[in-house]
Amino acid sequence: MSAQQWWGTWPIGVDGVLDWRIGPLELAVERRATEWRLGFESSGDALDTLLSVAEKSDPARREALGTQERLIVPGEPDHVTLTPALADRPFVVRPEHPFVITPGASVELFVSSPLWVRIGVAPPVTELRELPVFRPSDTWFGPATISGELGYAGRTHCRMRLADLPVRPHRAITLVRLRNRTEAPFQLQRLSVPVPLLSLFEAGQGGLWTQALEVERDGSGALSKLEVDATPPAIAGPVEPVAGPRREPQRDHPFRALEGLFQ
Amino acid sequence: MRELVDTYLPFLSGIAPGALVRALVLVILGLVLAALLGRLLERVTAGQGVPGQRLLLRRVVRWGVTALFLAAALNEVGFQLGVLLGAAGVLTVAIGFAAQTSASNLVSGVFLMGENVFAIGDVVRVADVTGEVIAIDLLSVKLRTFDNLSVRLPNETLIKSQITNLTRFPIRRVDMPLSVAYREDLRAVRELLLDVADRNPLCLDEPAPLFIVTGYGASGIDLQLSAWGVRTNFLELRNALYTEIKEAFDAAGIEIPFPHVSLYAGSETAPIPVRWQGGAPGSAAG
Repeated sequence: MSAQQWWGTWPIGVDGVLDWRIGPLELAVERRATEWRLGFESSGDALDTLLSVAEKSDPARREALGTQERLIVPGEPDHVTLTPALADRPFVVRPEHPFVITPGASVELFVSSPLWVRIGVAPPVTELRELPVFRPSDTWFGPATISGELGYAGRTHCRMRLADLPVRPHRAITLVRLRNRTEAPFQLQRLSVPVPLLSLFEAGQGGLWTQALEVERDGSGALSKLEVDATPPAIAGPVEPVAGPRREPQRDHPFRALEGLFQ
Repeated sequence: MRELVDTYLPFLSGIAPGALVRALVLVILGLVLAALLGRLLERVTAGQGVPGQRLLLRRVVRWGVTALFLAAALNEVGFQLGVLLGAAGVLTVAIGFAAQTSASNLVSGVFLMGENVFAIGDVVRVADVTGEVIAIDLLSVKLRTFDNLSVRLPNETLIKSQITNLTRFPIRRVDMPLSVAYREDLRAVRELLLDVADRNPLCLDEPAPLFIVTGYGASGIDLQLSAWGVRTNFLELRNALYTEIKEAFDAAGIEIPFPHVSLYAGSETAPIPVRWQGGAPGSAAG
């Protein structure tokens, strides 16, 4: 287990409390004889990199957190499970400055998107709740206010160099390769990354990665090709799968997604 | 009862058993075919158009097919359909005069369904009534208002009224009229308001929030902050923004002016004359 890993399974005794700090999110799980109690709170600072994993805590600490929940589960589970997940909507990012991709040119962009935490207990496996580590701002991605798709707005920019993107424990990195096969240049202002279609992989000290995306803008003027690679790019190093996609790509989904992938 | 039987028995007994069976088969066939066609249409049109229009199409096809087979069955047992249709025409005119309102509502209902202005579950505003559509019937539309009252709106009224559908599109704009004192720096106020909108996760990043100076008011400069949000978060977003704007104004010392009234004494510098009734203050104490 690398120093960065906050997901996994931990044993917990009756009346035990475990506490996690994952970037801006503080989460405490308490097991009682007949119920489970959750306490959580986000500091609101998306760039927070604090990390502490499954530290023994006390009920007073849990109760001090902003949101409290009580849950009754089947059986008598004695383990807590935390799993990372990608956002439930596309993640929209901007380059630091809009740029033009000329005909025939291609570019690689690294996008860092925030993670959600799935909290569960076992055995039997029961999901208690899902939380964003940091609640990103909503945004609308579409040609008009009456047609488009809801997404989350990125506070950070997509980058051309991986070194410009700091590794954070609560974010995953996606490589997007854009290729302009049209006869006309196009300006990239915003990019919508369909993260619900992607899986998560652990890359050792390199944090979490998703598969790479290949996007081509073809000669017809319409965006027509989106390919999701089987694994993250080689630059991520050796990887291990951690979580599957939220949604399996539908046969016609890539096309619809692509119609509004750039703006 | 006996008289009725005596009157109609000769007619019924005049029908050949074969014709009766054929008529019965036609009626059953018609009902089965209408049901099958209805289901087929449901399957073919699934995901196309809107539920109201699909329901209307299915109803028209089902009733049309049933009516055709019923007419054929009556013809089979010897009814003169021409006479029947003539009688139906006269009856229609009579019913038309007697039930003008219902007929008007019925026709308006068909047009409303065809126009697809709203669907069940939408929140609409008609005149001064705002509520969730809980039923769209042939004669009327039923709304549930937010204070849990049931309101019946006749279709005829609806087709003549301006209807605002509050839930048609997924995002909505929250317009917040504000006012600041004349001495405030408008550029700083703009920065502060846009920052409040930027920090609220329910406020959409795109379309970007708008800052508008709407004019010089009686007591302060009138402004408007317009922010976009998902329509299901509309109230939450509006409440949060008003709260956060008040907090930000208080923290920055920006004054939200209350109505001012200036008294004019007749010249620019002379003080307003004050006359004490019953002696100057303190004079009683000596």
